[in-house]
Amino acid sequence: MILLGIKRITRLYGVMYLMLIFLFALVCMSASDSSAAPITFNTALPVAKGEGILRVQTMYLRSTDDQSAQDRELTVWTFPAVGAYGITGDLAVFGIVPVLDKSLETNTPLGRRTRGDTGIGDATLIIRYTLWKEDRLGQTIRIAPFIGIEVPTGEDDKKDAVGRLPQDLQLGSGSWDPLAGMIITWQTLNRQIDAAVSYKLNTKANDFRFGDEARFDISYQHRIRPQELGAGVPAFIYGVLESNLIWQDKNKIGGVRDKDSGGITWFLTPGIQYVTKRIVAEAAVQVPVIQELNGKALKNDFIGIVSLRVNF
Amino acid sequence: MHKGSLQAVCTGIIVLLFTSLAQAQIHGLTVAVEGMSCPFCAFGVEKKLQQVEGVESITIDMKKGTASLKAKKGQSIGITQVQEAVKSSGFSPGKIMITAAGMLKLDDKQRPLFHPGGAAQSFLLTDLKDALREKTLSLAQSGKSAEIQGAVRKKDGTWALIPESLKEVPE
Repeated sequence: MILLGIKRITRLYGVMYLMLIFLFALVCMSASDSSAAPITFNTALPVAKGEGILRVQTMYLRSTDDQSAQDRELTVWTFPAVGAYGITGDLAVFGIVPVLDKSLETNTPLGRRTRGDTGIGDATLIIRYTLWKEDRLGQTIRIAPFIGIEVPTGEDDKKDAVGRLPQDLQLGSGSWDPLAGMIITWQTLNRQIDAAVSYKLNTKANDFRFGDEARFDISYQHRIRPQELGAGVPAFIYGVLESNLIWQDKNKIGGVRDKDSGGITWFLTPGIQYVTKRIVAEAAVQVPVIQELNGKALKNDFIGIVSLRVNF
Repeated sequence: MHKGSLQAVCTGIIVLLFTSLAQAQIHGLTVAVEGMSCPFCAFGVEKKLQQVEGVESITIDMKKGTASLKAKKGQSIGITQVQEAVKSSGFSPGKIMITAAGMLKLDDKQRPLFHPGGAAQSFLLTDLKDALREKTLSLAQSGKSAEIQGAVRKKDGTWALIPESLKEVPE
């Protein structure tokens, strides 16, 4: 009975959330003119030759929806630092180095225990090339494929008093994981749409292999302020709505598929951006609308993101 | 002695002429930056244009999609360098308008040519409006100096200038 009540409340919150998103989209649509870059994934917009962009983010992930007796509660703070550098007007490299703080609380026969670690995670290097572009006054459309690799810079064999931490609590995977994808960006003075597909091929390390990951992301950004463009380069405020569809294959432990891992998650991500010539300050919340996860895989409650980008 | 004085006077005239030409140049340029449509992107464009030799200041207008450059005193802005700078920022250079001072003359086909001092190229004056045609040809025939504002374009390896306004610069 109580469980049914909780389910109803959860559904009610879900409906309210979707209504909020819809209202937010309407507000964005009704405002005149707009544009920037997605919050949860990359854009195909250029990085000027010989120039750099630094992005620092704070991401807070919480997962508490565990129905098992373990009542797991996972909290992850991620602080990724992203550096972008333009080799030419069409070719850019990106480096991402995250600092992580992972903590998992579980019920054990000895009581409630917390395990986790803090430190540098796995770094990612990406190279992106603008394959095609059509520039016009006040608008651009461009297609940029990218390839990259996740490098095992994070600790992947951390032990505590209980023993070795489970692999997904380790800061690093220990493996070299290639990734590839493509981004399409259409930007005007009024609005911007980005869409990206990507695939990460996870490899084996420590007799463990994370499931491969495929993503399909879409972002819509709309200028809310100023409503009318004047002379010069005014600061813009954008309303952002993103969709992140993520599929992850099951992990393999000792060559055997882990039935309690992987699945499909669809996030809807409303956000806001403040954009000037030098900085972009932004905030967003990734809310899982659909989580079709395998077995007892832990579901996400939400992911909060605040971020700052600086042009150098 | 007399020969020496004559030589000195000629040298002086040449120096004066050279100085006069060197003072005339492309002192203002507006380039359409096609594809630039957000403030964060404008920064990269501004930085690359700032590196163009002779540029004193840049004003970007997001709504018009243009960057307007002003030259340092006594210096000229290179059109090709501006186009390269826009490309380096990841965008495409579009229509270019210049404000330049220089000499007008006729080429061997009796077409008006404009040579801004300090600029790397001469411009063939084309698409002359009726109101400007007579004045332009008259100044070109007598090899006078003028300040011209207009759009430039390169066609078949030749730079062309379509004047929108023209005024004689006193010698």
